[in-house]
Amino acid sequence: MRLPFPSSRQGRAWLLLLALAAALPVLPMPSYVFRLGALIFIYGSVVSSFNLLAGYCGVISVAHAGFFGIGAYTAGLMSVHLHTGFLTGMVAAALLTALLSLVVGFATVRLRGRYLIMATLGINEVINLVMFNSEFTGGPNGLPGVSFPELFGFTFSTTASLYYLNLAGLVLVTGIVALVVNSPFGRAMVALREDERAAEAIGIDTLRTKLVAFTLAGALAGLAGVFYAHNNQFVSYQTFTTDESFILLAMLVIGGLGTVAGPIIGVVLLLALPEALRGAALYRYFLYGLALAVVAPAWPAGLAGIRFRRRKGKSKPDLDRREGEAA
Amino acid sequence: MIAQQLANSLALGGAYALMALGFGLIFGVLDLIHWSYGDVMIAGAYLTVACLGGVSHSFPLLLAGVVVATTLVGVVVERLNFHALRDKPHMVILIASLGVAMVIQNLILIIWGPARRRFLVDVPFPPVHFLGVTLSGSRVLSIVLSVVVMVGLDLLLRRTRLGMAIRATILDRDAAILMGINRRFIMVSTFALGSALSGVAMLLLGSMYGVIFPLEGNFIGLMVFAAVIIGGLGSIPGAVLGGVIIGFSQTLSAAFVSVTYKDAITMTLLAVVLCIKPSGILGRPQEENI
Amino acid sequence: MSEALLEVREVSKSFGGLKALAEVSFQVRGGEVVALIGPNGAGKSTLLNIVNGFLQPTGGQVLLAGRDITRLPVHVIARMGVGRTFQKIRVFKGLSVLDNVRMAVRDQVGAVDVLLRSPKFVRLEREALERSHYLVDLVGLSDRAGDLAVDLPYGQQRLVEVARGLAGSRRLLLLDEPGAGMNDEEMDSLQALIRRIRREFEVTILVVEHNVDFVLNLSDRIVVFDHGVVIANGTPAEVIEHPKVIEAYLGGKHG
Repeated sequence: MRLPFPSSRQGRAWLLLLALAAALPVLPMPSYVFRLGALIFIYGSVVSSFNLLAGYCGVISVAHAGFFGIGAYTAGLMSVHLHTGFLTGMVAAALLTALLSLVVGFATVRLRGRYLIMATLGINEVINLVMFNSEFTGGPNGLPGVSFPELFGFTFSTTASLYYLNLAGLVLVTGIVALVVNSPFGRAMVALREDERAAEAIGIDTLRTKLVAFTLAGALAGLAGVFYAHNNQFVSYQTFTTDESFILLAMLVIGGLGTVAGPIIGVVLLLALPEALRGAALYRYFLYGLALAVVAPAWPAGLAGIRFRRRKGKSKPDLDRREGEAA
Repeated sequence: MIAQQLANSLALGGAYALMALGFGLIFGVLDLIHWSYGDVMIAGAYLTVACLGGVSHSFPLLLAGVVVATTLVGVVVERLNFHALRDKPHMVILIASLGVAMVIQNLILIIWGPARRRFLVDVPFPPVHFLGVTLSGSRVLSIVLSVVVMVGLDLLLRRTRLGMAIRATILDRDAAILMGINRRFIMVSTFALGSALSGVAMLLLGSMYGVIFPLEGNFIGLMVFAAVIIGGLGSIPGAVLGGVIIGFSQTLSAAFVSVTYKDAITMTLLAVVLCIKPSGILGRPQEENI
Repeated sequence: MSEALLEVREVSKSFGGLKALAEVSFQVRGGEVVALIGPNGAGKSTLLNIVNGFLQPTGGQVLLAGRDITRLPVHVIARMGVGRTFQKIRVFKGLSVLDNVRMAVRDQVGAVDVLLRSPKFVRLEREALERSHYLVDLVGLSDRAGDLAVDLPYGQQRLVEVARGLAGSRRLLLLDEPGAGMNDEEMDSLQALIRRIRREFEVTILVVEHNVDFVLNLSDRIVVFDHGVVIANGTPAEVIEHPKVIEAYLGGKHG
């Protein structure tokens, strides 16, 4: 059995990054940095899963924050009301979000471009409205009291342990994404993104490919949601609004669509930088919007995307104006 | 009771019909989804309130003010968001537009804060009673003014040169350009017209509800999407129909189902129509070239 | 092979009030090169799209090796051995030439093998890559195999499409105006390529073309369309003398 990439140069770079991240807690830094780190890892997972759908498959859905949230609320509700554990929450959340994203994917499978955005926008709104209005979910005040994650008897309650747990979560999700995209199925997704009609004409079942991508991406986002819920011990609708979906899109666009590294770059930039600019809380969304409005036209493929443009075998998403999709 | 709700629905529907028309015109002429349509409208409202002091003023002044303010904001957005990016790939324009919507919303938030602001209109109509139904002055205003504006718009589209240029462009953009219609002028004019319509609608909404808040544009935008999609993108009567349907959906859901979930119901309607028949009730299905 | 590989039977297609195709019937025998010609708007590309599965006819049937494929989805028809090129070039722009072709090579490997990267998977991947290289070589683009398709000149992008169309499909190749936008030199090498493909792969080819000269020397048979109706069907020599054909082309023959 051969692993996908440890022997390649790229694989070594990944391992190095991982080692650095794992070694970071050794340095004397305020615990705040590690709390931020944990959050970066969680969002890295979410955007990675979004990358699968939007970056590789070209399906721009803005319902992704909604699925992140469904995962989070599932784990949170199960922890608070049923007192189940971390792993049980993961299984339940993954299954539920997989099922729901399959349904949404099925409903929207024939929609393209702006129509798809509108439909998924409406869907995210509905999801968010339920989170906000339903007493069951705690309503506008959210759901407090989610337990710390525990695995095999060990409870992750310290900043350092949560840091490592979420890092492991990121490795898990990104690993799955990497496996999927470096496979015949991954190639089918890319072909679909580049030109759906041509992809059909070479034998790719585009409907099935889109559905699988939707389901997988949703399930992984739900999984990330579980980590989120247990990390914060609190779940609220505010984290899963349509604006948050747009922010996920911003992170993906800036970091680089269609590359495995892109999501992480985007998350680091768009999560760490605003945090670094203290007192920017009020300006946070304003900056995100500005990022989308200004960066997207300047760098359509994103930072990581552009760097990889000329490499043999690597793909850059085609954003040609004349092909199908419209604003 | 039902009759009352139906009457109220018409009032709300009138306002939404105007917005759907404005949005639909921009789409029809420019093939663009104006993602920040609602935000432009609210920005115009805030500007008007800021300039006129927020106290109920003479009706014509307020009407003129909000229409002018909204149109100005609309044209600025057109220049910066759409004209500047007109040669970029569609996806880029789309993503940038989503960003612009966020920018406008949060600019309002930064400048004026999150609290609701009063938007009071001195309505020149008394309440009307008939058949057991009571229509408040503002609702009467809404129905009357929206009909008046729609008739005016119809006249503009049929009788003026600008109107005919707009209609020609909607029917066949390339042919219209070949026939010498000035593209840039049409773009700005349509945006101005679309924004102006939302300005009137803002006045109507303001008179009915009395408050504005920064993120309202988000919500309004969604309702407008629902209206044009359900009624049929690219169809002018479809826009009116869609707007009225939304008015009914919102009012009747709030009255008979649940106030908290009225928005969810309308949103679900949007999603369902998109998934079953994206061209809506009166829209033409878009053909794809193989 | 001499039975009909492709049979188009009484195919009609209406778009609203416009009747694009009216009871079109013809056959293509295995190994043949058949050209569909006719003035603009005659319905040729529409027919190709119907064969391929992108459009559904309003009447009639399409049979591939005796099997009714009229209502089958595009990807199923493709997997049955039908490949094509497009009138408006549809290469995968952001991918390299080699990857474009590689996409079309069918993968017979199961998910488990993929995930575990088994020896079988590795072998199949290598074979697929070899085949892709072979096809890229065949169309004469081996020196540009690593370049992004979007960076190639128009004529060469067309060649990428041909290689890709051959990759997964060995039975029937549909070429939609392959000569469009090409200069004389490119047309000549395209002709040579088509002949070579037909020889080496024993593949049946159906070409839609505007340029009558291009297909005259290339085809075994020519089917002539005019306003959605077949007005002639025979060898190039027969067709060129046909009175209806001459009439249809009066005032607009491409040379």
